[in-house]
Amino acid sequence: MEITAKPTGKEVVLPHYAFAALSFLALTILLLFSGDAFVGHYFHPKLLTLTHLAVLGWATMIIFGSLYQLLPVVLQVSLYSDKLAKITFYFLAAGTLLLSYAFWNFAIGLPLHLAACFLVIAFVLFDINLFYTTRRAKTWTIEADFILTSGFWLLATGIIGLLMAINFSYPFLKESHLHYLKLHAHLGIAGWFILLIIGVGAKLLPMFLLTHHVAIKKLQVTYYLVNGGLLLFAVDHLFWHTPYQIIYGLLVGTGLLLFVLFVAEAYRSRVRREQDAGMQQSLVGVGLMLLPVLLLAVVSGQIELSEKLQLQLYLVYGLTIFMGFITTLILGQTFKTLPFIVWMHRYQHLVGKQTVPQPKDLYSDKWVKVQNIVYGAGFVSLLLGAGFASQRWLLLGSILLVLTALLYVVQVFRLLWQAIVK
Amino acid sequence: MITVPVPPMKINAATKISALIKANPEVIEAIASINRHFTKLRNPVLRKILASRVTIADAARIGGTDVKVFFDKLQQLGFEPEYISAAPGATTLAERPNLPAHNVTLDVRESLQKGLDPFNDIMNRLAQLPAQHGLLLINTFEPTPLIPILKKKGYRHFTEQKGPELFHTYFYPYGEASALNSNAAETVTTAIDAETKVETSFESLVQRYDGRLVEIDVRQLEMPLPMMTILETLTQLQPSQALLVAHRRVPQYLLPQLRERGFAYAITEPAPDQVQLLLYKDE
Repeated sequence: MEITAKPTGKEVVLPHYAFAALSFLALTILLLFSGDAFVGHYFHPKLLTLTHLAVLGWATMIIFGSLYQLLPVVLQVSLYSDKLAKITFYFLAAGTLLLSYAFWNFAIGLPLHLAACFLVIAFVLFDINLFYTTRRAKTWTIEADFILTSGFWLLATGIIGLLMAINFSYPFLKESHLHYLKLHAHLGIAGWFILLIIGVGAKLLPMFLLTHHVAIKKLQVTYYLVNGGLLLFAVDHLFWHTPYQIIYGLLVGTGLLLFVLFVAEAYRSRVRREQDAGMQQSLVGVGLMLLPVLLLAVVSGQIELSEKLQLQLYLVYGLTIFMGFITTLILGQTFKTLPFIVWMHRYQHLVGKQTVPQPKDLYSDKWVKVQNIVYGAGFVSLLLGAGFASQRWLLLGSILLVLTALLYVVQVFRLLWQAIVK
Repeated sequence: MITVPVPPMKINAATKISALIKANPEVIEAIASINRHFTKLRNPVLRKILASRVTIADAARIGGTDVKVFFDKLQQLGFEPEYISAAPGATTLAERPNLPAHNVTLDVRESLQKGLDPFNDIMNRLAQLPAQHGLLLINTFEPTPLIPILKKKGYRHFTEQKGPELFHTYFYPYGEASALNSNAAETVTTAIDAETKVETSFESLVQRYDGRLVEIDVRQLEMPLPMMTILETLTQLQPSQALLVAHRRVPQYLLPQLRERGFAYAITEPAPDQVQLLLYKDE
């Protein structure tokens, strides 16, 4: 019985972190020049660019990279293919860049089609790698269920995106673009991001908190609530068109609440009392997952609002997701995972042979704290700006986020540099 | 619907129940209907663990019935019984041998009732058996599936029927020496290096290093401090010593490091979130 998993090579994992950090910086800089888009409609080329840069270049990219490193730890098996992971990276990177270009310039012809194809290819390849890796696992865990299912939703999201891209040039879809956009967005958010965050978080957060045992009953219920809610939503949205979509949102929301309670339980029985900046940020991120759920009641059309206010609240809703918990969790988890990965490649083999630093010595926790505070202030300013359609708050928010990204990029590249030099 | 195997499968007293089920799943219901001893077969988990270890002869004895009853039922499903041997390897409930004076008692009736496999529990108890002790297994039937497995691992057995559904079975080592080397729990794996792996009992290894063990507990440490502590402690270890580590999980990244540094390891997981590692110089 082979019980050890070969760690994934650094040349597979680290480029993802580099690309993601640069995407985040690019995203915040573009945000700085997109104030006008935030007072208009959300189907605005600039907003489409920002959103896709956030979800693909920033979030999905770093998730792919860290999953290649984490899966062997979670499932105790080696990654199915390092080579496939590298090819996936190129398709995702090229697709993201091309898609951002296509949306920003609203070049909805060939550039958009190509970008969408690249991305779907990247998702298919990722799913193949994920599927064959999980198939090697000898002990099946609930975390593996979450991660594997999230890969499926990612592909579904990508395919809907591709169909919409084709529909721009050769209209064939029955309903309006906004109709499919809603489906595309929610499958991506709840199916890909939320399921994945729960799957990975359920494993990593107790591990970093040094919590010895947390009952997984809540997670099992969460799994069925989120997937059930999503499936019903997708079917209803495509075929039934009932006015009860808020119920599916509530199912997903309840699932999320249970996950938050799971983390709270792990936190209460933690052995490690003091949390570093990365962990503080991550815990805030888990709490922030509930914010869009609260807003869901407002944006789902249950409450009568003026059209202008409705659009502003949609933007706030989007911000609480992409700039809210997803970004918060990545900002925090980067400094829990990356220092460890760098340490593993650079120092692990030297332990016991010479004095070696610990992962926490490879970066400055103080600067991560500063980054978190600047980010928090920027996020709140952005919410105010979008909520009250105030250019001034939007500008302040984007400046603070550019600063956040600069602090982040410097720290990440300092870490990456240590992995490269011998 | 009754599916007849073509050509009819020949069976005898030594045919495994699992082979019958594989040939025709309706065997499950047919046997379960013989008497209530066999209703356990309807439980997929118990079926999986029991059916592969039990022959028709074993089953007949467990159920307190005759092989012929089985053959009659199976004939209806198209099997072709051959009355050749009686019950190969059958244990006669004969005279009582010299049993160990002290026994560790394990009652598995409740876990079987709940549909759980007591196998690992039994193996763990055996692995932790104090010297000069035997294991007294209390069960509702003679534990036929277990006997050949434990025989291979160096255990004698003796079964006494105490009541209509009460069997006392004693398992005890053939001798001190053989017991030490063969009472392996199946969950224990020892890797001497990546290629050759030898199954040895975790306990027997710990006993081998008795008095020369260094113990550390890394369960309260944050990653990668467990690994750093272990590797640093290993450098201070005398060649004759071994390191016993209390860990929270099987340390994936540590194991290749150990091989590289010429250490062999044994791992046991007595409970979820509890892992014990024994690290010793590879000879």
